[in-house]
Amino acid sequence: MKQILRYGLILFLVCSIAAGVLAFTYENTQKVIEINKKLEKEKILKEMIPEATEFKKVENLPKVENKLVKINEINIAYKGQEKIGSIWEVVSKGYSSDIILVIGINKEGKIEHISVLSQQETPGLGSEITKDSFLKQFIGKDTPNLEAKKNITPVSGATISSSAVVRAVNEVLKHKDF
Amino acid sequence: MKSEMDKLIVSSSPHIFVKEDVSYAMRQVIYALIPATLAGVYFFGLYSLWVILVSIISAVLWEAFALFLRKKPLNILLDFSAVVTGLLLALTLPPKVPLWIPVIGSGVAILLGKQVFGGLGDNFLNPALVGRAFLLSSYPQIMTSWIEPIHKIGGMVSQASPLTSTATPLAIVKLKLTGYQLPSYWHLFIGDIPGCIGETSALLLLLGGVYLIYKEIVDWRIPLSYILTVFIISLLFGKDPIFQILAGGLFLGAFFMATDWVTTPLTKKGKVIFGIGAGFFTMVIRLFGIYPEGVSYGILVMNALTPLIDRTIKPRKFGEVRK
Amino acid sequence: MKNFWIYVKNGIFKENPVLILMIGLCSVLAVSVNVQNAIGMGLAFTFVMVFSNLFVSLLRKFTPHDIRIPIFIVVIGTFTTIVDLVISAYSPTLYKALGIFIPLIVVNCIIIGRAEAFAYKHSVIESIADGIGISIGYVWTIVALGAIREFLGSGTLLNVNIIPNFQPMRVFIMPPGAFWGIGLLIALLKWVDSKIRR
Repeated sequence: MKQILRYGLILFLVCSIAAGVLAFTYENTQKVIEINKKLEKEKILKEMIPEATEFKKVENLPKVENKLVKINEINIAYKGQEKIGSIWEVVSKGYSSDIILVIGINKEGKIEHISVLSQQETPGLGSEITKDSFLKQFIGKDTPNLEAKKNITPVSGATISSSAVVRAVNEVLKHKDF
Repeated sequence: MKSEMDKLIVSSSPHIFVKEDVSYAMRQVIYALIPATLAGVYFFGLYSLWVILVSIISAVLWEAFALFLRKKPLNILLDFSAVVTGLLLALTLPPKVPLWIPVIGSGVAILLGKQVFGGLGDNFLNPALVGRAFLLSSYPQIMTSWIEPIHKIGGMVSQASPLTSTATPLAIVKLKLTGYQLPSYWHLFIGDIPGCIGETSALLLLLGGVYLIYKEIVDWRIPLSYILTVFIISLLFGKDPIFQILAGGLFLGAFFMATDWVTTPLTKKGKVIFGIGAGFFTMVIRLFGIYPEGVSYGILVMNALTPLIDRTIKPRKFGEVRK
Repeated sequence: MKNFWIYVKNGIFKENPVLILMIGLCSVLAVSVNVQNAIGMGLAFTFVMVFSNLFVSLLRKFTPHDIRIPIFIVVIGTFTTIVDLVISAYSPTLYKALGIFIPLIVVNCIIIGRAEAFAYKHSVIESIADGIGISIGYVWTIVALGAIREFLGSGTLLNVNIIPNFQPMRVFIMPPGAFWGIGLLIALLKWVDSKIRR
């Protein structure tokens, strides 16, 4: 009984010191992490539609039937009072990870800009979906009839990753007027 | 030969073969492959002959290099196994590949597929298929660009010849490609279809396979159970079974690769299980995988499972009582 | 002080954690797709390794034998989380590349193995020396493997194209390439070892 109490006490001591150290690090790094994330997001939004003066987040997101795609966030870009486009953050299930895409749609309902925010696909194969040579195929598209190997050339050896991007783009185009 | 083979007792490893026997068997395999090889050259042009020659020569050179590194006598080369590996590898390549592809492929086949394990008899995977698997995952684009048969020995002398690219029948079905027409059974049977150099002509491969079975180089159980399994599974899943058998590399794989002495089970029952398993995995890949064709991976998976099959199915010792 | 260098040297070849002890292979195989990731993982590993050895050794007098493993885990976990937070705050790009592998340092067998086999039984200075030595061994191995795989699999080194027109063998950045690469390195080390001994 005494033994257990002693052990418990020692463990408690070690753990509380560790917790203290971690709390301190967390406090100090969390601010930087938050700022980094916010900066990065703002930079991306600004890059997508440079002439926008203000972005407004959409509260009720449209429902997606496709289980492999999820819409994270929609920001509507305004220039003064006028709507000049929307920016979508969508997640699509890739080969080995969730691919997060940012897609900008302009006034005419066409894709103006698309980039991969984060992915953990196979380096050298699936990760090639971040390259411009693949992504530029989507620019200017406005109807959700895209299909890998038909009207979109997939990254060679990475059909699944490529299809994941195609799937996400189709969902965005389907719901662009929600 | 026949009566001698009857006395031959098949046992578990170590496999120590009399050299003359291995060499004899390997030469028979080469003879059996000649019709299909010639058909490939006829269908896909003279360039495919270069691919085949480069593959065979580089396989022999790689083998010599490996034997030199391992300080083994070079006369092991006379067992012809490197020639067979090179030839089999070339027959599984698309006709239009650049010539460095067979060099790398046979290097991987001989060095990583065979010699690192200690040479012929100690490899657990079919070397030619290791080479092909390596090439397929390393150069997916090159390894999946096909051409229409051209029926002219003089056609396509070099890789640069302008030829329309196309898709294999299996790819057309699997990816639901439009704008292509599926070949008739007859064309599938004689091999007048796009595909790897040596895999298209079911007729000539069957001829070679029957020759090998007649010479008792290969056991009929593996090809038969393999092809039957593919037939039955395609029936069950509502696919056209005759198409599934004739398209792709099933005949080449079933007769010449799934029957490799070293990498297949020793017992009769084990051989049947091997064939069924290879057929099963082939169809799983064809039906549900990302690749349209699954023969090579099906055989490789069963190669890896062979020691397990051999351990489970032991021949009953003389006098042993069944439990 | 002489011992210090002997312990450092020990980890580099004689007790190389990856190639000789063959522990902690999962992170090595998974992360070594290119040199950049390998260096990042190596640095994160070094930090956790040295500090966990230091603190395990420091606390060894107060650590009852029966509950040493939970205490090791807490120490290692603390430092891993610190690395995780610091990298994600100050180098988001590296954080993206290393992703899941930083938290996995917690269960890296090398670190807990050295805590149990070395730091728990040796003085603080010796433990630091061992931590440094093992880390150097880990770093050179993972960087070498990363270089092999990046060169053969992508045709580049540190994202710089080395040979123009080289057709990279994609299989080397896939899992089988990792196993081939590590097999090659192990064979090479054994071969050199046998030459030296002779």
